[in-house]
Amino acid sequence: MRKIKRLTSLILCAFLVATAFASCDSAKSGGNGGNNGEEIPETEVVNEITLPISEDGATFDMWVIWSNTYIESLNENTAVQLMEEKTGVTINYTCIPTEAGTEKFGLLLASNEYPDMINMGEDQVTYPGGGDKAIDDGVYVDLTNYVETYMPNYRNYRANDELLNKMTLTDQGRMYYIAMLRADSDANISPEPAWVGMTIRQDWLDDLGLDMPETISDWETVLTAFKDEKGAEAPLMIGPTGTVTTEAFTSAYGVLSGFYMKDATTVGYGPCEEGYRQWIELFRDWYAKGLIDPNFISNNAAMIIPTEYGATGKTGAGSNIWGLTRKYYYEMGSTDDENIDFVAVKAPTLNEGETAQYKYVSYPVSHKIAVTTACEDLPTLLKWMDYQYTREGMLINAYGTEGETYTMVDDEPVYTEIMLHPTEDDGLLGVTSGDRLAIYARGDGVGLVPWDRWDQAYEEDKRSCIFVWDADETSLALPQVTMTEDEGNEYNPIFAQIQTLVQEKTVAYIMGTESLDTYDNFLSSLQSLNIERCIEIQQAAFDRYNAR
Amino acid sequence: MKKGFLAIAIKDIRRNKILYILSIPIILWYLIFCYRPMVGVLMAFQNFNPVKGILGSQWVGMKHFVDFFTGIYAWRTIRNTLALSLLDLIFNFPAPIIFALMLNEVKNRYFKKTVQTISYMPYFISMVVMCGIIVDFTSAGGIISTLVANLTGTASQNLLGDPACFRPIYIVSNIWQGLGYGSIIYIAALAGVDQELYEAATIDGAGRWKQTLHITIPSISSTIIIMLILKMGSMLSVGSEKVLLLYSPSTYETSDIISTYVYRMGFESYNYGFSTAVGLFNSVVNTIFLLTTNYFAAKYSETSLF
Repeated sequence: MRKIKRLTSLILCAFLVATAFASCDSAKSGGNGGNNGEEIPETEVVNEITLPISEDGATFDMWVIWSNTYIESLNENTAVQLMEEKTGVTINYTCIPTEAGTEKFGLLLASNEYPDMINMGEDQVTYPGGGDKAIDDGVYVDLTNYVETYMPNYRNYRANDELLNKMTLTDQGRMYYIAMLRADSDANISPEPAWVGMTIRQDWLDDLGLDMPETISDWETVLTAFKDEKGAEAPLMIGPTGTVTTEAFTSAYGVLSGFYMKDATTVGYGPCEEGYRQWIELFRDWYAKGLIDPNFISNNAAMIIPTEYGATGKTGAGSNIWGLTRKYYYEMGSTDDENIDFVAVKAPTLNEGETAQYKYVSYPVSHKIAVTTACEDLPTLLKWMDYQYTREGMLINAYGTEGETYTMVDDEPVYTEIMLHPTEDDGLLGVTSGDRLAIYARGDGVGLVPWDRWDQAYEEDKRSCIFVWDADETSLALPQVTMTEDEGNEYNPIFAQIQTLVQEKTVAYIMGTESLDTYDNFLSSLQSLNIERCIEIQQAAFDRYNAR
Repeated sequence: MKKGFLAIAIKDIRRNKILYILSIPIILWYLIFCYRPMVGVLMAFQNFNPVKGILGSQWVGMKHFVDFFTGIYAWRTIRNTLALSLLDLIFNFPAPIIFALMLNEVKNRYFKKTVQTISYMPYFISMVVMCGIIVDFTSAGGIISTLVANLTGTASQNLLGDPACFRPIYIVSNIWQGLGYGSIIYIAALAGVDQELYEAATIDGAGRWKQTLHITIPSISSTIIIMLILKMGSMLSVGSEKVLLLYSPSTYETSDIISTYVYRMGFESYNYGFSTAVGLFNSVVNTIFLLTTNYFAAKYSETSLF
């Protein structure tokens, strides 16, 4: 008897290990659905936002993925403080560093304690099962009727824009978030040009007498020269799973590394296609020839070339975002070599004269801000949110304080000297334009955010990158579709396994640790893991998107 | 006449009042941090939804277990976990013992203390920093990679990208980090060995080696066995942080263990239920290991946990 008791208690003890990874036991059932879909009386309808929005200083919490070198949190941002002063509404930001976003979001959902608002970024984090499920679960508020009632400005933008209207609805025609909208300085909606793409060392090209590479074979010539003549140990930098953010190289073969548009109506999965195999063969060959970074699995260069490579002449090409181009490394003091000059280059194609069919797709809809059922004063919060869609609100968020960080010239906002050319007295010397903006203007977040504000803050040669990258096409890009809860439950476990397989095999083929003879086995493994079902689900979600 | 359990308990509590009061915080700690979260294992049988909680989520029975064992990664993750644990046991368990025995033979007190202190140091480097160092040293062009390349006459390559190198790197770095700290308990045990035994042995003509074999090792054998049982209990709970920091898709073949798989499924793909099911399986296997070792230890020696 004693032995059995001990055994039982031991087995119970063992469960501890299991729960170390899963100690979410809150037994809060059902969730408080709020006033989902409830009719709001006509008389409540707000047609104009008047300041202050709250007389007695309402306070709300916002969870946001955001980090900056100079200030710890958005609460220290002067534009955020000015907004608080004007509206009488205080927003307490909980800032999460980018790399921890997905994990922290998972923990946030599991914690059952939600802030009033969750900024999901540009789909950096998504609610598992999609927006409709989030509403049905009682986590997010169904904002459809509230927007009509309390948000006159946001309402107007949606009513006048077909794509915007479609994108901000779920498949069931509900609204689970308020979208940050990209605009120009006159508060007209306009998507931002591609801000990330491939870059290459122009100074090396000039030295070697080479032209800007266009086709895959041009690239091979250029990279070989970088390696042989310039001693680059990682001529081309790629992400840890073989691709770069903008899918340069994969797009040359007409595929992407994930789901993509096979044609206007059909969804396909890249790794199942012949083009993916050809891309792998190319990169395997390049890796063997030493044209690809031998440490790509640990260097994390999918979007940005790491400084210890870019600034040291170890690499000649890789993905980058526009502020980090041209002589950035020299200007930032990362190198003494004034020659290092990264310029934008179009994504490669197979044949001359073609255009790559993928680029970083920007939509007018950017960050998505959900309101959770934890919010106790929806009208005030929504009115505050709506104020961010006025030109006045936009100017504060994007340009800061009038007279200090910007002035109005012919009704156009212009940054002051302190923002454009700071001196030692301002204590801002050596701070990049991007970081200066992050200190004095809020930038991305709920509201209208004009992308052309960067035109003033950056040198033209850095800005011009976006026009090179933006010239590529988008026909391979899938729109932002959502799955139903049941689809998600079926899709997630299957796809998680498929992703493991694809990443592992792709890297193994590129590095040459696995023979290409096994490629057909890889394809049949994909089939046996039921990739067809995943494609079907994606297709169904896409069809529903089209039918919205 | 047999008294009831309650009567005995009350009598005992009266007699040892203070001891019982002293134990309350620890009992509470176990209840709050160890027993209460156990409700969470129910998630293994659910399509867990964090919002609906344990009571509201949909029950799916053994589905997650079936999915895991019929999936293509079950055998691989179990195999990798076992391999890492076994290698760790074979190399990392005796290493501190041998180290302690060797230190025990050193007669110069200052030399002994210095070696001991130096050997502790790696233990106090944080896991993240240590893994950063390992990643750096083993990348193409890194110190260790270059050394290996020179010895084998090949080009310097990223060792952490090679599935064949993952286990050696993991084990060797484990030994390097844990050797000194792990030896403390044995050094303490060695200090307690009766010096007269050595004197007697010397008179009988036993040399150093014979003394070690017949006096030192038998004297600390009970410590060794207890440590072994404890180690067996955590056979399948390989330190997931270290693997997480060192592995990459290219080495999944040898490095993807149960706990990293659980992590990816749970926190990157939000399959909480599936994740818990796999974790639960891991714990059950650990318990079996612990009980088996304890059984054999009790049978073949006088030392056991219970």
